[in-house]
Amino acid sequence: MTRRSAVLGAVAIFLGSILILSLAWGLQHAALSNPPVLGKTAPRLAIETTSGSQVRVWELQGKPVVLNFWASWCGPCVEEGGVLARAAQAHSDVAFVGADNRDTTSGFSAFEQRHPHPYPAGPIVTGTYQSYGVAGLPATFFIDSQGVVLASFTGPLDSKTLEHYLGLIAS
Amino acid sequence: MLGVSLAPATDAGKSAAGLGVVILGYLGAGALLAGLVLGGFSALLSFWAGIRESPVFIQIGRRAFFGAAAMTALAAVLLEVALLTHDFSLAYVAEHTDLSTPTALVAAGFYGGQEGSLLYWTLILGLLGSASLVAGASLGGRVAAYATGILAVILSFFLFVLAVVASPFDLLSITPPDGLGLNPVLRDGGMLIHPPVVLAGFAAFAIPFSFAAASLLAGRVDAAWIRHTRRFALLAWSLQTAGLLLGMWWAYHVLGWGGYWGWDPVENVALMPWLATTAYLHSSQVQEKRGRLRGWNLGLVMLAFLLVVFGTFIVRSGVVPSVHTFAISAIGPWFLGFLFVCIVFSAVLLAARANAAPAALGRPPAPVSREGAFVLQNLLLIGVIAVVFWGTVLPLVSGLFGLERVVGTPYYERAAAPLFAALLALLAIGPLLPWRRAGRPTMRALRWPAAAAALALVVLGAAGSRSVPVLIAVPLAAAAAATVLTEYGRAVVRKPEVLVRKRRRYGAYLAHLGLVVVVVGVAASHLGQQEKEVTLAPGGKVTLAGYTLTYTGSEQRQLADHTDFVAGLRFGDRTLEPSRATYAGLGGQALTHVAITTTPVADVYVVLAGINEDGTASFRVFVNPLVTWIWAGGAVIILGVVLGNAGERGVEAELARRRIPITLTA
Repeated sequence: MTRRSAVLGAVAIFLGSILILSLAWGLQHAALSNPPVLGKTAPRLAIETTSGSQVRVWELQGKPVVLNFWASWCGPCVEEGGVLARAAQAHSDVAFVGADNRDTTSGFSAFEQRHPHPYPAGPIVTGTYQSYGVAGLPATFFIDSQGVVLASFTGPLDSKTLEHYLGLIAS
Repeated sequence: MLGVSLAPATDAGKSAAGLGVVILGYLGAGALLAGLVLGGFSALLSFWAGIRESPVFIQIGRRAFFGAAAMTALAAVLLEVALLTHDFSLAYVAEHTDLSTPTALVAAGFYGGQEGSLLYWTLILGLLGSASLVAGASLGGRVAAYATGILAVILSFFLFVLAVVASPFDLLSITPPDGLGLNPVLRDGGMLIHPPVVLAGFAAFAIPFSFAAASLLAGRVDAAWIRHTRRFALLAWSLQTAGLLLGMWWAYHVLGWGGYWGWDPVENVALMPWLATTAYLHSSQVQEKRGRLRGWNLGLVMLAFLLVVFGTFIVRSGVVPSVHTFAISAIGPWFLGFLFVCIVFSAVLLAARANAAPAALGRPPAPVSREGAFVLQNLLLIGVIAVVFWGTVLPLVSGLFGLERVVGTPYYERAAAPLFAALLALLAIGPLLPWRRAGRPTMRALRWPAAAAALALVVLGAAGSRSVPVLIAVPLAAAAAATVLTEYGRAVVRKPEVLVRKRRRYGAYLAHLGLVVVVVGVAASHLGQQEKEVTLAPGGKVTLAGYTLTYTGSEQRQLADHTDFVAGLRFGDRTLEPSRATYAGLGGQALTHVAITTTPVADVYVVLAGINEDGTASFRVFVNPLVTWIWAGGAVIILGVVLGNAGERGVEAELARRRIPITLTA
């Protein structure tokens, strides 16, 4: 074996190991392998809005929370954006939070320029989407005023469905 | 495990569904187990027969593979029968269909979920694998034996996963009166065509891989395997081309975001094997014509399959969130193990054997030659694969090191666009370069594409286009089209019969022309899209890019499985009806039905965002220029491939004519 092929082989083995290890890490941290959060205290999560202020979900106790996971590249998220925005304006007693995940900074800011959220929205700075077991986007979690997750919905919400869940956490 | 899943069957037997129904579940599970046993037997026997060169055992190993394929087909038929007879004692049937689902979609539920789509994958592998073994019988005993063995190992792995880890024949302890139904997004005509084509494409990549690996194992890295492999690589490539385009078409018509490609991980993993095989289909010509790049070609074929296994792992394990994620499943670790084995096997085999091929014949070619163009094209395609691969695994690699990062569309566009532009330029120049060395006549031949590019640039400038991507993409596309047309023109003027005699070449040119049309469609729709959000009262108008729509009012329609809220919009003498469907049986899941109308230069694309209580309706309106060019160009590509390869002339005869030795035993 020449020196060149030995070096090439070593590099290939190193890169291959990193790849396999990363994929294995992915399996350990797969969104789907997490326990369901329904009926439990909402996992800690905070976002940072465009203005730079942080919104911490665990500090919103006393108010029901609608926590929406979205991303700028996610078509169905745009689709439900109007429904959420109108509901947020109609229900001032409910805190709406938009958690942007798996996104780029530029993608996020471009999105905010085109479709500004009327409620706090931004990238997750504390906690992860995985702690909520989010696999596909959009995903919305309905948290009551005690901080307990009462319901979740995967896929774009329409106003009727959203009202149904809002009724659930308001009572 | 299988034993556990079968245990509660007695409850199901008591249900109204009756005994015959339970038997379907048992028979299906039995067929999968029988297939697994036959597949394992075929693998062991074929490898042993290959080492011993025993014709009798080669034959038995091959028949065992046919048997395993037949058992897979039986399992598939049983699952389809269970679906069509609404046998809700099977968990798979209950989870993916219900009584209100239209029959065609009930049948399509076969590949609508994790387990069923794996069974479909396995079925296609069994059928195409059997066909390739019949067609490849002349390749020589050892190559055929090893190919059978490798195909049997892959088939057995899938049958093992199906029989033990994720069985579509698991029984429920209580038979429900109705099922859960198919995901609303999948309740669409696109469901009938996109998944079966793209999954068949994925499965088909296993065949070139098996024959490439078998040639290496047998030490016969010669031209015969290229001929055989190319045919199946071309089949896989064509299926994948059609599958990708159908997926784009479906996303465009169903998802309602006005686009067709989002660099979603699942799109990426379907694109990468296609790119690798595109590279192979070009570089294999260098081997056919000039006897070069043997090891490289083997590497490309094997890379394509490794990317398929990687993609299958990514899609089915849920490691990366995506619009295509399957339901929770335990198959992730198994696929990771399989990927690991495939990578090690391929790497060891290539490292140990590929260099054993004798050195290339004659003088090395000049950089500016057909060979040089193919090599450059290959390197550019590998570059695109690297960009896409890095973007796909970055969340996982960065996660491993503790800071999760993710890249979006801007990364892919910035990194891949220059490579695509260079590929487009090669599409214009490459076909005009002669083999071995380009001289003065080539420079003269390049005047037409150069003139076309200049003309396109002038027209764009006069039209006031200032977008740099457009000013690069469209002139290069014009040059590539000019190259194809001059080649056709020359053939028609000089010797029209070469169009038939060298149909592979002229079919490929037609495919190039189709690609140019696709590129123009992508560039125009991507860079020229206009969008507007608007809320209208009945009678209200919206104008975008010169197109005016008038809102006429909305209504509610009750259908078998869902309620439709439909808004009417008048556009000239046409009426557009975007709607929102709400599925009562699925916890009120909603789905948008986009309304699209096509004019010669653009699609008007309307999404109903919502109908408000005061009678107004909110819409998102897009004007997407030239999207239809993408679908039309795709059809031309497929047409070119089919016309070019129908009744293909034997490559062995071609090689004999060119006096290139066929067998170069290592």
